[in-house]
Amino acid sequence: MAGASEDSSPQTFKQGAARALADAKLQRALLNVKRGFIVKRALARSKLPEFDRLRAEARTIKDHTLQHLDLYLEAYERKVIESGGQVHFAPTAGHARDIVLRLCKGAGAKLVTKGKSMVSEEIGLNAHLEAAGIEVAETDLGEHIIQIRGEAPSHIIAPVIHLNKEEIAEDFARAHGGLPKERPLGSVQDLVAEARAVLREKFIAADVGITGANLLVAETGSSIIVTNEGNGDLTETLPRLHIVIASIEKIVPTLEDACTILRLLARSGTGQEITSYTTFATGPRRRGDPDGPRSYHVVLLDNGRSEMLGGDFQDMLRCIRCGACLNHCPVYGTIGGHAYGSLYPGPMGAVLTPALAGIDHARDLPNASSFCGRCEEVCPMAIPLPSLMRKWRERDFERGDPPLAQRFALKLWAFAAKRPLLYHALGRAVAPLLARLAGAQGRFRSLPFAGAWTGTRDLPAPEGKTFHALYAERRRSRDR
Amino acid sequence: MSAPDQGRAAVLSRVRAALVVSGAEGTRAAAVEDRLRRHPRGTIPARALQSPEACIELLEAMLASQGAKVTRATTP
Amino acid sequence: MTQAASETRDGPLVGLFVTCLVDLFRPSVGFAAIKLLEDAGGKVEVPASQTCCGQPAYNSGDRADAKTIARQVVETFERFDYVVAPSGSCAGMLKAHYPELLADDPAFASRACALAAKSFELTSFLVEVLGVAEIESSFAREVTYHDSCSSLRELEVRDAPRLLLASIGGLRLSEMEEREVCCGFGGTFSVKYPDIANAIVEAKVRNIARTGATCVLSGDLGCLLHIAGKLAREELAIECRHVAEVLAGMTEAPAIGQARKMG
Repeated sequence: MAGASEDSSPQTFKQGAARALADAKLQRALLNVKRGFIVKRALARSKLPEFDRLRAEARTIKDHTLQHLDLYLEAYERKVIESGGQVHFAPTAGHARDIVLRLCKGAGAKLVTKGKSMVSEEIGLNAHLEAAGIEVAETDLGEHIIQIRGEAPSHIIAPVIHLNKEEIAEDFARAHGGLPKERPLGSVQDLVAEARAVLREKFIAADVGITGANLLVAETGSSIIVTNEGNGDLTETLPRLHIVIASIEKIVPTLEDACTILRLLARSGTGQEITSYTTFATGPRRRGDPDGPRSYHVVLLDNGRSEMLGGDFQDMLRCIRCGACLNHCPVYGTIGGHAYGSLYPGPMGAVLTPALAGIDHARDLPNASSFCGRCEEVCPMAIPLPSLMRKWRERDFERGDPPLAQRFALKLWAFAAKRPLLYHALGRAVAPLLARLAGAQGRFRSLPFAGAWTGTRDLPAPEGKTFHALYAERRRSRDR
Repeated sequence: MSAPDQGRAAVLSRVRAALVVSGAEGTRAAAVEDRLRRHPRGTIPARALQSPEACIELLEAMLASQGAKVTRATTP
Repeated sequence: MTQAASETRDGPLVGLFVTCLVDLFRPSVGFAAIKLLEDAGGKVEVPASQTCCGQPAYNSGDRADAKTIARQVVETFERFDYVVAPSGSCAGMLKAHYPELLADDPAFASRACALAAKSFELTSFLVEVLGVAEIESSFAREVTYHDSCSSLRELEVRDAPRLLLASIGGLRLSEMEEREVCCGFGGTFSVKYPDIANAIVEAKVRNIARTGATCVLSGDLGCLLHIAGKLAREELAIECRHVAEVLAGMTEAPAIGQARKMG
């Protein structure tokens, strides 16, 4: 699975985290951004009395759909064909890449515009098209920026949350050729205006437009995207071929079902009641339509979803990619998205990445969590993220994979914990010893075997005797 | 089987295997058909459960908050 | 504990779940809990065969050991009317996780559910079950309260400690910003990913310092050890105590990780 970049992957999590913690610019960016999203989401929720009810409904809709996914896929396919489109099923990322390339070649494409699509990044689509000589222009502003930086997104809905506007101005100055060097790039408005001008040329010249889909509607065969920039509309409508690439769990039964989920999506992710644009596409242009693509193709990607279905991780298939869990996660909030080395960071990435890439290649992700539970609390689809992370830890443990030292320490501890007499005897020996070692200070600035803690924090010392020892003493003296 | 048909068959059979179904079960098909036909309504927003006049005022306020200029027309 | 109290009171029989951290690091919390429970009419026993709730194994993916320990806890505590722990994290383990953990063990499944139903965190037990609305005690300090994630999200304990603290003479409570954000302890997380845990507790400590409080209270010793450790490393003169100590009026002993007289 496509990772964050060539030199980072989930296996370099610890190094990525260390780099991120030392990166002052990133830390500032994270501070501003997460607070914004958190406050706004809370406000949006407080203004919607039916929020919890919608959440329960949304969960039921998704669970029902997943239980009948084969039938809904067929129903969706029928409707797409009926409206003049075509559906392609891609079991793997490789299949999906080949289908999209074939369609682009068939359309004689030289330039492809793209709306933001995590799935297209998951399958490494851009590189595949570029290797075949097709120019790919990302049109979402954030995606455009990371494209010119050669980076991966650091957040599933806000790709450049890790950057400040000065950095972006430098990128524009470097990458947007043919423009006067002294032009103003100091304000957000300057940057947006320049991006609009640059991208407008691409929109108009594109032969093919590729978008993802937030939702696919079986009832009508429609694909739905949400954007704040309107770039999705221009990507879908202007080129002669529109390709939708979406994973199979994006399907919902009806337009009402789609709307229930849409009412939660923006509120949960950015705190908006609705995004600036919510676009429904159903098939190619019809006779009498003034515009629209001549052909409309949908590529449905499996790439590991069917394996999650019917198993321990099925609940993860309810995810609507809102980003709320990332925004509220204390771990994501301190290390940002790139540290995860995965396209999908944060709590949802901690569950999804091992499912797609294998737990051996992503061990740190479900382990680097304090299980604070905020992700589950804010997830609009009620996904039990900490429990799913724990399940990955169980799988990992069963395979004997966690580091030897950790397993050994755990086994020793468990051995004692199952034997009260031994456990209490050890406590009676250790507590006074540590208390004495710490001396009058009452805490350790450093302690052998506890360097992981004492490297950055003092360790308070035990009071002296264990509770059980003292309790037994007091009972004995009372009974005397 | 053509490549596209193979892809389709592969995905659908994997989904069915995961759900432990054949795809021919009548009750499942009926459930899907029923939902698509009935398309049950979701929860009506609380703020829509006011008088029509109050709803119009709310809409005006929301439009104004987004910077729109709103004019009421008294006749069509 | 007075003999008269235990003989004449006909209150509910409460098994105190000491917790491994209280046992090892701060027994005074256990004694404070006993005092609070007895003053409120409970008959408290402390089974000697308890060790731990099993969370370290559970959260490390060692489900087998977690189950063994859970069974031990069920057997040890099921005879009580209630099981009370001075810890949201351990009470949460018993209440929110034991039923699922032992669901596929026919000999223990219903017993785990029964135990879960009568397991409580200390402050919520005092308020919601024993009906305590105020406590006669004083602690004339400016304090702030840290809610542990388990208390908030597994047990929904938020108001109980605050209700009780409101009755403490002279105590002024200042709520910190980002109150509901983790302190970064997370059990073994604090040592498996120490730099991330450190960054999280740094933010927590900044929020604590901004309240102007001279004392941080919490219902969870794990959080307190972590926060106290960071406050000490940053040389901030803010004390950490378990809420039970303050409620029970047992605050003469040094605060967590603070200097004390040896002897």
